[in-house]
Amino acid sequence: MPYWLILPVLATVGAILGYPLYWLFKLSFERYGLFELIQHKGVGVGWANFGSVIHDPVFWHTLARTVIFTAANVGLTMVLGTLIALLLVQVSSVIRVLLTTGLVLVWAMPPVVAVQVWLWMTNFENGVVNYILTKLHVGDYMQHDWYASTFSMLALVTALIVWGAIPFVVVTVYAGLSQVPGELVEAAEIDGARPWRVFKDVTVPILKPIFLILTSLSIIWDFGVFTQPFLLIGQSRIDTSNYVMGTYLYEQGYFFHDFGRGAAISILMLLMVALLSVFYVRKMVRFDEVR
Amino acid sequence: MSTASVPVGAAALVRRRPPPAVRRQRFLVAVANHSLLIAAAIMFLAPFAFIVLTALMTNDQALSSHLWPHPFRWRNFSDVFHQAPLLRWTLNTMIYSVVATIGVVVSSVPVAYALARLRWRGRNLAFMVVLIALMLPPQVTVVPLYVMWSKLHPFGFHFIGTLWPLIIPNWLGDAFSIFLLRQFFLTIPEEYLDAARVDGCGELRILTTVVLRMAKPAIAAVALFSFLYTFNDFFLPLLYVGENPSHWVLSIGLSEFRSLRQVQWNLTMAATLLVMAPAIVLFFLAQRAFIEGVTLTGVKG
Repeated sequence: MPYWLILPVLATVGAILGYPLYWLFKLSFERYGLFELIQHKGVGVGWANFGSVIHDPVFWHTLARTVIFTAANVGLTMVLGTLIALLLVQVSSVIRVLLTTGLVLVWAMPPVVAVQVWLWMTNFENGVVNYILTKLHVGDYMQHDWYASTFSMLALVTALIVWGAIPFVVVTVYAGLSQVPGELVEAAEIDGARPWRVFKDVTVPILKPIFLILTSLSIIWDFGVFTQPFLLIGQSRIDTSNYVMGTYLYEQGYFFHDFGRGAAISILMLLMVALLSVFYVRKMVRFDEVR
Repeated sequence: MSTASVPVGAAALVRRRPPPAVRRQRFLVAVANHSLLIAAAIMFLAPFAFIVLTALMTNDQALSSHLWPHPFRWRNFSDVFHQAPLLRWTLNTMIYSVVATIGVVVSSVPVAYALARLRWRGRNLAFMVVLIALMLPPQVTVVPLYVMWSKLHPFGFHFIGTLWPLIIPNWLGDAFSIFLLRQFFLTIPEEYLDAARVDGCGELRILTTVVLRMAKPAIAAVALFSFLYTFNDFFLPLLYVGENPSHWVLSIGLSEFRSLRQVQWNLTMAATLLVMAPAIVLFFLAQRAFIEGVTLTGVKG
């Protein structure tokens, strides 16, 4: 057994996880601000960072908001993505090419670009969304400010994230659907199964590994998402009333130059993501043993 | 089921036209399916159409409610180059994306191979660690890493404000790539590897000759993921080079572009198109390999 082939694994594991985690823990027990950054030496403060975070009502509000936000994002992404993939099999090739082109364009669109477009579309003075909604007689949306309330702001962020995440889900599920044996679907249909039954009892079990990976990746990505809320809400509008974990961590850790507190928040975030996805990870590892 | 074995009567049964009620229902379902997907296609294509149209408008028009540019102003694209150091940003982005992507592939392949095909003590533990690393939001490890880079300062390495802190970690493996590659390597039949071993190949030769050749789609997928991720990356560049405009990458440049020249939507959208172009071209060229890689690693995983 050539052990030097494993060496990169151990080095990698140490580099991508061990060292940063060690520092994260060390940092979370220190006062480490701008002054300490220049001195290159933190001051040990025990559990003070954790204490200040846990006793901060902003943290709990942010956490609750982020959990709901993540659930909405992941749920909508998975349901809509799967629905589109299922319909994609049924329609004529013109529509399929049209939609696939759209999906690829969105997929290739950097989040920063997507944010620019959404900012422009929802601009209250000359945004095209307001214009179209008014023309369609949904109501008078001229001069409607979508960024006036926290809910409508975060709903926009959710729409943006779901819109950007759907292509990955559609393409993966669509590709997975081609792996479902036609005989199984046919057999179920001959036995009188309605489309919903076929989907629930034939398609889903076969695509389960794909759904597991997609869902767990989505949870991980959406729980810590930063770019979309940071840019769409905008630094000038970000405050305690619309924090999600990603922007909360950035503001507390970097913007206020309190790295020790940032580290403490990071560790709490890590624990929560681990809790959220432990179920999926166990499934994934078990998959591996069954094979 | 081959058609040859179907009795003549059964074939006739299959061919028979379904009753009108069933046909009408099928027609309605098809109409519903098509309209749903056309709506979806509009949702995904419309923003892109808005970008293109606005990029061709004059500034006054971009602020009005007209949707069709009149006259077409192609000069916007060249104006962008005069108003912002777009070439500088592009160069920085390319350095970051290309060097980081090569690093991800070079460093992740051996790790994934060792996790998938070599038996050694602690392998499952190492895989668990990779999974945990996959779960970490990037912001989590970023605080200690930032402090670590700044600690190198007294030793003569002035890394903060340069692209190095963005590039170097990618040469130490990437959890997502390792995970995808491992899942793919597991699907390679053991017989191929055994045959190579019987022929006297060492593990490294097996990796470079047999495995690498069979894993091309997966490696292409990983390289593409990595390229797109770094190309689109906003958070890390903002952190490390945000205060040093000469090292800005496209994503930062673009988000600053609006504030740089008070809001000129037409130029912003023209810049947006220019930024998107490389990613789109790459995507259409490599879509096949991409999807193949995703499917193979996903379904069999």
